Amino acid sequence: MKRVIYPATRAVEHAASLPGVVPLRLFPVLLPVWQVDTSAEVYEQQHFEVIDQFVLRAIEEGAVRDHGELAAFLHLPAGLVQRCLAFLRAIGHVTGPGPQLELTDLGRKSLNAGIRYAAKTTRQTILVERHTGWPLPRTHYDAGVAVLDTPHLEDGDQKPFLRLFTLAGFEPKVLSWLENNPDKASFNLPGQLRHLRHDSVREGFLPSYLVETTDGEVLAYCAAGEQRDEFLERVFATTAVRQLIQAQEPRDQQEVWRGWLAQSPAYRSGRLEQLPGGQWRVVLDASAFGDAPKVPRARLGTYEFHEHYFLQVCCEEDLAD
Amino acid sequence: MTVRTVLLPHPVALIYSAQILADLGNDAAPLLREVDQLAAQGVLPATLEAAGAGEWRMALHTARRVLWLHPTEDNDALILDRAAPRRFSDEQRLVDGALLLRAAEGFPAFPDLAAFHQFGVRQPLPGELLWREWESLPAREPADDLAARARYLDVLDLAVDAGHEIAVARHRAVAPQKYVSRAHTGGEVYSFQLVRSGVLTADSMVCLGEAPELRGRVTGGYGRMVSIRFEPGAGPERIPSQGTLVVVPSERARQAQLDAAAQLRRGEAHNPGLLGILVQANYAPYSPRAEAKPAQPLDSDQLGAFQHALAVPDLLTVVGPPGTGKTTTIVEVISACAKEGQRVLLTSPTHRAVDGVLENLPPELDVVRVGADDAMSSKVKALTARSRAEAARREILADTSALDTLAEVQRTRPVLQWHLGHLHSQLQAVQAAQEELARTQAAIPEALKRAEASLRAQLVQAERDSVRQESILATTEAGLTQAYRSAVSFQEKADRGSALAFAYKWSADHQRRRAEHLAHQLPTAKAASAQAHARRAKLRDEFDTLVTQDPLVVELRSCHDRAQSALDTGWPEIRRAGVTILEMLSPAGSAPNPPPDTVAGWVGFHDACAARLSTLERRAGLLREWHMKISESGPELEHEMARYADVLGVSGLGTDTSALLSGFAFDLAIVDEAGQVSLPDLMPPLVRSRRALLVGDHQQPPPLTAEEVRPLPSEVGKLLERSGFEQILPQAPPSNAIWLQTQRRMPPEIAEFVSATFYAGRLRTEHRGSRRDPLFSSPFALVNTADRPPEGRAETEADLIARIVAHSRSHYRDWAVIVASPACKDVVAARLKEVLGTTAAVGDNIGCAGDFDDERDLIVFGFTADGGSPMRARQFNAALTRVRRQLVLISDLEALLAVEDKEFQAIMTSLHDHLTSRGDLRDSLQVEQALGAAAGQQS
Repeated sequence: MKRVIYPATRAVEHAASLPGVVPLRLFPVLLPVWQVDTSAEVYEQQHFEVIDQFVLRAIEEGAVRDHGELAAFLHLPAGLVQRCLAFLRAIGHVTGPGPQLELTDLGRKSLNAGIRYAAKTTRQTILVERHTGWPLPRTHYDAGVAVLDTPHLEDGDQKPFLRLFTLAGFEPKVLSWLENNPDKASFNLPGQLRHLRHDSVREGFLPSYLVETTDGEVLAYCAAGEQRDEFLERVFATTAVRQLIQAQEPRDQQEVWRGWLAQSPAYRSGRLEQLPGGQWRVVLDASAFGDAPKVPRARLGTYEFHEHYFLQVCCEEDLAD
Repeated sequence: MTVRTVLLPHPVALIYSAQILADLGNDAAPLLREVDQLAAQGVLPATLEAAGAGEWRMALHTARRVLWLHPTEDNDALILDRAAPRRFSDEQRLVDGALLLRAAEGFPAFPDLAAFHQFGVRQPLPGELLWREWESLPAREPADDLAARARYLDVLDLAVDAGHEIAVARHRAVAPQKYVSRAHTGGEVYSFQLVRSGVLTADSMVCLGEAPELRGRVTGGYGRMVSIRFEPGAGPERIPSQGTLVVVPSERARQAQLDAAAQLRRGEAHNPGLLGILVQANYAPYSPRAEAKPAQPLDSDQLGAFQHALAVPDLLTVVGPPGTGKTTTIVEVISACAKEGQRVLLTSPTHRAVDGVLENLPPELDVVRVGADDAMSSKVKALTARSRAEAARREILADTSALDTLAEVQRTRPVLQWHLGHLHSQLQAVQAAQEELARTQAAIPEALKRAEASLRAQLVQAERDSVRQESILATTEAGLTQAYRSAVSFQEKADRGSALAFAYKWSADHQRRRAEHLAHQLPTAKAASAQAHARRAKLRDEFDTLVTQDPLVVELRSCHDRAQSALDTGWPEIRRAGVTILEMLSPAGSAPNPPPDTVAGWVGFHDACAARLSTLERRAGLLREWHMKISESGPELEHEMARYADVLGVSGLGTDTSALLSGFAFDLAIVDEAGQVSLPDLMPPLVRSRRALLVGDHQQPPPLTAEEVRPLPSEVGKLLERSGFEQILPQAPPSNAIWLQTQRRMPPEIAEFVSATFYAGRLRTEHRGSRRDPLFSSPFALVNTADRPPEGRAETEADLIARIVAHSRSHYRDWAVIVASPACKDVVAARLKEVLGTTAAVGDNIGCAGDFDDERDLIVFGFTADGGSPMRARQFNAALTRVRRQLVLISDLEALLAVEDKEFQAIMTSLHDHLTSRGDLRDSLQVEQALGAAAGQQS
């Protein structure tokens, strides 16, 4: 199955690439969201075909008010005209089902614009961040962003993503706010949307990475992009997440990594180094890379994670170059 | 998130400990205030933990801290052990389950136990309540259903792509097809003569090897000829007269499947229960429509399927082994549903299945056929969207009567407008006259009043005098009469001589005197009255003369008379104009009725006629545009013909035609031959329809081979290794899985074997019997070629097949040869042509097992393994069940009984046993001798 979020090493790489930023620890976190199954009416813009447009014109311009007269006027089979009228009623263009044929306002609007606006009930799942009640921006609806129905996800270290507790309930007023927002597209909603209502609400969990820097900053990442996620950072700024991170007592990294090296046969021959910025790396001889049980070559330059800390995997020869 | 609110029955005392004061820098008050505030709102999260030996502890959670507490020994207060920063581990514990404490009066805190004992209220802790609530916290809501559905949809997406990849690989395996000539047959359709026949199948997408951007769809063909409809832009100059055609995979079919899967994911499938059926077999309960009667008789199984199909709210599977009347049943279901106003989609991977149904539908249904059209019967061809659009276009353009009528109205418009103007002016005149009449009728009395004012007093006095004199005269005459009568009466009484006679005498005299007096006065009174009357008459004449000659009165009376005259002539004119206008408007349809003679009524008539004239003018323009548009419209009109049909028949499911379903909605989708349709191919029709009926045979070859599916991930492979029908069928409850069990195609000798081998003995047979074959003693025969040397066996068998066909075909209405592989097909086809002659329609009567889907009276089936793909059980079944009267198998039985495939070997063993008892099992040399003898007799 596809990954729900890119590997944590990419978040660390990005954080490390930021000027003046020294990433210290990484916390994979499941952000609690509401997955709100909504329905709303939208007008789908379609091209008129032939018969549909002339049926509308015959009613509006030709003042043909009767089914039989309409079929006779266009010289079409009565059954076909009935089906066409049923279709036009279904998309909200013709009143009915009374004997007098009339166009609805939508029918007139379509005719005038030369575009078949089809009234359609659309169903869409809207994501609302639970702590703040903020709707998630459009970027977070990308096909690559997975929102989990259940809070079961392990990070690359086979440890579960961390959970956050919240008592915040779903506030339906967010839907009114979205419906009245002129910039609905920013929240992944079609512009011409009416009667937005929620059918059901369920929990959801957005996998994200929080990177703590040596300055005490918390940078947020999720699958919506490989850059810092400004929306998530705004959310986390309003919550106690920073305190949760700070409450995780710092450890002596040298001790952490020595212990890890001792338990990792492939890396055991490596040399631990701390860079002037404070980051750690393990330097291995080129012969340590290869097929299992050696260190896979793909690991070169990436990060290994342990107890929220990370160290970069380096090759002695590369450093010499 | 599992939480439950607990109301604490009384305040719970908290006792400080040295540790907590150390944790909080000797100032616990702010934290305890936060605890109290949260508790007052009922949102103080708490968790419980057993601490061994009946001990327990509790954690209270503020925004940033966790307070750990345990009960005192006396169980009457909680000791604050410590205050730790809130960590991720606390979050995890809370999401696993939490009590939300509500305590209206907060938590009274004491510096130590002594202070509590001295000042606090000692009450037992509500530990029992807390633990009861804690232990009854519901387990986390299982999200398994959702997860299962999400996973299924993920796998489905992958299966669509995997299926597409397999299609791509299949297409790559088809070598570019050389053509030696091409002809432009009209529009975008070209016919090509290929070097080889039978490679390009209907609905395949192809491109030109020399110009890959020129793509088209194979619409049909026969022999080495194929017809291809190119996409717009492929002019004759761009298509060389000789070149190659390359099969290309249909990206549109893949996209249609992905769109359908996305529609299902969004919960927008027209069948709301579809995902639940696919993932968890959640079918809605229902009862069949027992009262529903088909138009033609059905057997009991078919009737059951019919009545279930009419009622099923979501999805019905109908298992229809060969010859059990699937087509008949489908025809009845479609007819009944369409007559109820339901819109029905009939689809199938094969053209034959769709056309077999469409040909038998009642003519009153509006049916449109979409798909390759060259191989269709003329009846079905007339139903294609193209034919229907063309017919509609022809009829619309041929009928110019409406346009002529409207043109006539337009031509006579100036005259009509003149009449309308005339009507209008007449109405104005009548209205003015009516107003004048009203004005003068009101003004004349006033004018008269003013004119008579000078003589009025004298006239009044004279009238009074006249009345008075008349009154005097009348009184005098009455008194005279009365006096005479009284005098006579009194005299009579006096004459009777009574004691009062003198009195009567006196009274009689008195009355006589009175009468004489009145008689004397009477002439005077008469004269006075006559004089008064004459004076009054004289004054009246003078008065009338004066008034009549008053200029104002004279003018008013003149106006009044003129207005009356205008009315008298205006109304008839208006009525005449109305009739003329109606006569001119009526040919173009209904016109307003003439009203009664009121101005308002005729104004309404005028306006309605004027509006009608404008409307007719607009209609004329509209109709001209309609004719122009309809004469030049192409695909969109065909699309609409399909959109508005009662029944839409779509073949080539899984090809480009699947894309055509997007944007359509149906009440019922019927998928015939569903056993040959993969699940991704099933999705477009299923999501577009409110209900679905899958009709198929799970013992027919699946859409993809085991070899094609084997490399796929297991979950994806599971979705593709069997048809969608075969996956849905076993999970469906009895009410949603109906069997047709009576077959009428195969003779019993064959059907019994098929039933026992492939359908668990469920198949019954009602066969009308067959004439005895000239060569074989049973309708089920096998010619065993094990008596021939292995080398050259293929040629030997091809020769046997050709000679048997040549010998027996005249005894049967039709025949076919089925072989195991395309390689065998070429060998047998060549030999058949040698034996039967080149004019024989060999190409249409030979096919490979599993692909040949027609039925024939005589079938000769050569199925010795040739080193290619081994024969599969279902291919074998598919080949056997094509026969109506005589089946001849040609094979090396010994080799078949020793094949590696154990399933197939078991089938061959039972075939051998069955043929021994119910069939005609012969060595090939015997058959050859019989053929030779028969040939000798003929010569």
